[in-house]
Amino acid sequence: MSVKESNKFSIESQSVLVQVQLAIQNIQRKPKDEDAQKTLREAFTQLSEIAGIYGHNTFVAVLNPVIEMLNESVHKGLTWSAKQLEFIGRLEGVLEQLTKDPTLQSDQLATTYHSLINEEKKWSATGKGNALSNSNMAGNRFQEVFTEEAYDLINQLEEKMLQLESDTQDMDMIDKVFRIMHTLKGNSNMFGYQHLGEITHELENIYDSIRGKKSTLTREVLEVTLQCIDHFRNLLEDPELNTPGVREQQDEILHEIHRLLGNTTDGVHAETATQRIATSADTGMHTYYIFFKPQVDVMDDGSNPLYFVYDLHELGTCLPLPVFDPLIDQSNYNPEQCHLAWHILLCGDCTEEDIREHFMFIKEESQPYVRTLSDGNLLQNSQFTSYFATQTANRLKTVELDIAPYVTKKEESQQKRTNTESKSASESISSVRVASQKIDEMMNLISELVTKQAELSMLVNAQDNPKLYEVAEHIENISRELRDNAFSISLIPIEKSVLRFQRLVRDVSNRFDKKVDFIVDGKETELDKTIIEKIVDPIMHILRNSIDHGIEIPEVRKQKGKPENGTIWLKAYPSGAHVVIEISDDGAGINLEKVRATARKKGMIDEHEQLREDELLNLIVSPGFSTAENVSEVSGRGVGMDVVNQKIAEIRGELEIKTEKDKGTIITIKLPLTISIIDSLLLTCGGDYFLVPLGVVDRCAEVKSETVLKAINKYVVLSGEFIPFVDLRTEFNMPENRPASQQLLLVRYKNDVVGIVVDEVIGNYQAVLKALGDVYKRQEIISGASILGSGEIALVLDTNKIIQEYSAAMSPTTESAP
Amino acid sequence: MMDTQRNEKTIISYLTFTLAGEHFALNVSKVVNILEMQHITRVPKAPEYMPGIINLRGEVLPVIDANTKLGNGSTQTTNSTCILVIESQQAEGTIRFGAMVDSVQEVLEFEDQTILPSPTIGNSYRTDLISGVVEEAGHFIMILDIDKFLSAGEASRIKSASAEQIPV
Repeated sequence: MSVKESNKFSIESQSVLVQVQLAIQNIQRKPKDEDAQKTLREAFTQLSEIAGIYGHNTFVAVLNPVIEMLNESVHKGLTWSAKQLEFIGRLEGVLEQLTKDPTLQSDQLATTYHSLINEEKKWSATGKGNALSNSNMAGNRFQEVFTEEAYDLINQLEEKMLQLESDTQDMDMIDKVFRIMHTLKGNSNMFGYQHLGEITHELENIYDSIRGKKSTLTREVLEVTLQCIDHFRNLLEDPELNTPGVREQQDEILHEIHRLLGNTTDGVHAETATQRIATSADTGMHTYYIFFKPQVDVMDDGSNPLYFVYDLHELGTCLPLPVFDPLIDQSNYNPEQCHLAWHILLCGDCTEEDIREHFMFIKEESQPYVRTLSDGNLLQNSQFTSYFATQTANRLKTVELDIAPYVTKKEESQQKRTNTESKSASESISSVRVASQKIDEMMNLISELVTKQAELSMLVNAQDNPKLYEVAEHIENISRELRDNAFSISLIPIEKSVLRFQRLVRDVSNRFDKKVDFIVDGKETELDKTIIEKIVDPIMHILRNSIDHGIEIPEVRKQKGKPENGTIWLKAYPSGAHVVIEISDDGAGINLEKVRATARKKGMIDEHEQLREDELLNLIVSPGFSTAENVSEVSGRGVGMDVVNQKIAEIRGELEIKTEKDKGTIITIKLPLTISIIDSLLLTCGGDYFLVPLGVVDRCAEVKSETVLKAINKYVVLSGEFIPFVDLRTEFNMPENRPASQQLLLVRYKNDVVGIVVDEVIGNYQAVLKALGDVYKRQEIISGASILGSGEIALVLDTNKIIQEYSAAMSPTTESAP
Repeated sequence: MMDTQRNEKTIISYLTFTLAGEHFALNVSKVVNILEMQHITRVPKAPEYMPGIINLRGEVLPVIDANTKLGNGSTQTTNSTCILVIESQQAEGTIRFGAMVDSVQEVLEFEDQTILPSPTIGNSYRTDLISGVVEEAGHFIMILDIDKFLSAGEASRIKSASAEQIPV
């Protein structure tokens, strides 16, 4: 919020505050007077509304429960208890401070503020039913924005932490971490998540000292930070620590942080004061001396000098020492005049200009005196601050400060400062949130544009007009770029979520004392954002299961003759109009006997029912099934795999489990992509266009149509190998006017290569996949369609399904026969 | 029709078209667009009444042959053959599809009293797809219930698909 706006807020709110004060006095005199209660209610409502307009949620949160309370007492004609009156009195004091510091910058205010809020909550919890939940409605909108942003920040933080894990010396990254924590702290204090604020505040201290090179980023610190990150997520769900687990965790983490802080500061105490200044100068901080003596009439135009002083906190750490004009006539004191002045020490990474700008809304005559004292943070030097206090005491003029004894190594630090400045200037990431619906709309329009563009090119080629040709070519280039751009917007690589998986594998394996290598392949595979969001949780659960139930502990692995470290692979690759995510491990595999036994015990199958392997595996994904002997906190609550299955089915994906005893388990998730680009091969057959994903194509070979027609049992011999094939013309009932020479497309199918006979292979094609729509959802051999530049439609073939369906040699019945 | 039963005085606009020489009508609100006949990309292995898909301004639109659907055999493409782009309410949500018809006639307004219930006997068409009949200028116009048109199709499609598999 700009200075100007906060100034406006302070003026507006203060006028209402006067009314509030009057109303409170009124009600304290006549606690059961309905009119007094009503005026108070109105005054509170007004204040809450004004604060709402300026986005100061702090007011809204503290006032609404009281307004609710007033509503009820007005309604029922209740008399106010002494306790309530006392509370209102305290509330008034807090409100007054709040108008000056609406974002709770001052820690003291934050504490009193939150104790008030807590008190209110207790009331509403006991006597007033759900008054609080109602009152929170107004704040919900802000709350939502806050939590959304907070989750974002926490994710960023986690990502950066994991990167830091591989390089703990990366100061740039530490700076970023610090900045994220700082934002998180500010936001959470503002929205009343005080516990979250508390931890971030402490964490920030740790990282600040690392930033200042006073301590190093140890494994321990990393560990605690990662714990905090998890805890933050819990806190967002349960900001008031209502769940005992969360409360315990909060204490534990705070304890842990304090311990770490103790470690880091111990070292610092040993250093001399001068060293301290020199080191902190590295971070690009400066210490300024500001003398601010507003004119006596400064308040006439509504400015509040106090507010300017408070706001200095935004620029850095601040030590304001107020002095009162001793010559003023106390008996004739005019409260509308200002007789105060401030000596202020400010430390921050701002410039003198920034400070002057800060005071730009105050009159010329009241402008402060600003002088740079030194680089680095002199405020941390207690000797200097006490010197400052004695020098400035009762002085209504600027003072000369001799800083020489407190500062050294100035030149060197200045050099370093320029370094850090250039670094911080180079990084600024900005992103915009856009409703996915808008992107869909844009994609449709662009597809249309591209199609029409192709038509235009065709017309222009027939025209023989070089100028027109040039323009058309230019438009073609632009639309191609536009298309590529739009595509890249709607798809995101799964890479982003992979970090979360790595984190999970790391944590869970540590918890079970298992050694696990996590190998990710195909991070760059792109998927629609919504699909990625929905698939993250199921994958997390599968990974947890793999580590918990799959991978054995190192000793057992050694006995089995396997390497001590278990391995989990996560492979992602596009396959037709689908993306396949394959999670495999080299663990113990699923114990089918145990599955059978459990299923019997739970009455899911009959005593004598004999099930095939795949049927047994299907049981795993049925509701209420879990084979884990010990129900651990990680997996084995019996809601696991069926929920996974259901979630995947919701996004029209498919889940397949394969397992082999002591070899491991492979879980394959096949996801659809309604909007996606694939590299594919464009083919023709019988006058229609078809696309086959390039990923499955092994090679192409020419084949005589005679050979195809005469082939016995649908096999051709190609360089000495028997290759089974599928003839598209025959299978699709196309007319028999085939060209003499056809193409045999060799595609991979499971571990084999199968041929598909088509008329012609045109070439590589980047296809935008479109679903055929619900009407054709049973058409499994066709997984989608793509519109070609000419406006014609090419159908995307699902080669797996085609081979399963039409190739006698590869049909599923022969393969899965026992 | 459902909408007409609520208020007796309602007048609803219908788009009329022909299928094998007979007149049919559709509630205008269901019709999004009328397209000239264009090349239909065949979807292999689809039921006969679903000849394929077309490109509707970058959107893939499935097309149904209304003649085949009503048992008239497949549509013979002429200059007047059109594709009606229809939005239909199904259990799964709104579905867009194209319907091939022999020719599009005009938009007519019928007062709902003039709509007679669909005759149960002597009708060569499946009565479940026809919600009513109107007499206009000496001939009968059958009003199609397009929502049922597709869902009924889906049902029969599943049947035909399973029937296909048996002889293999």
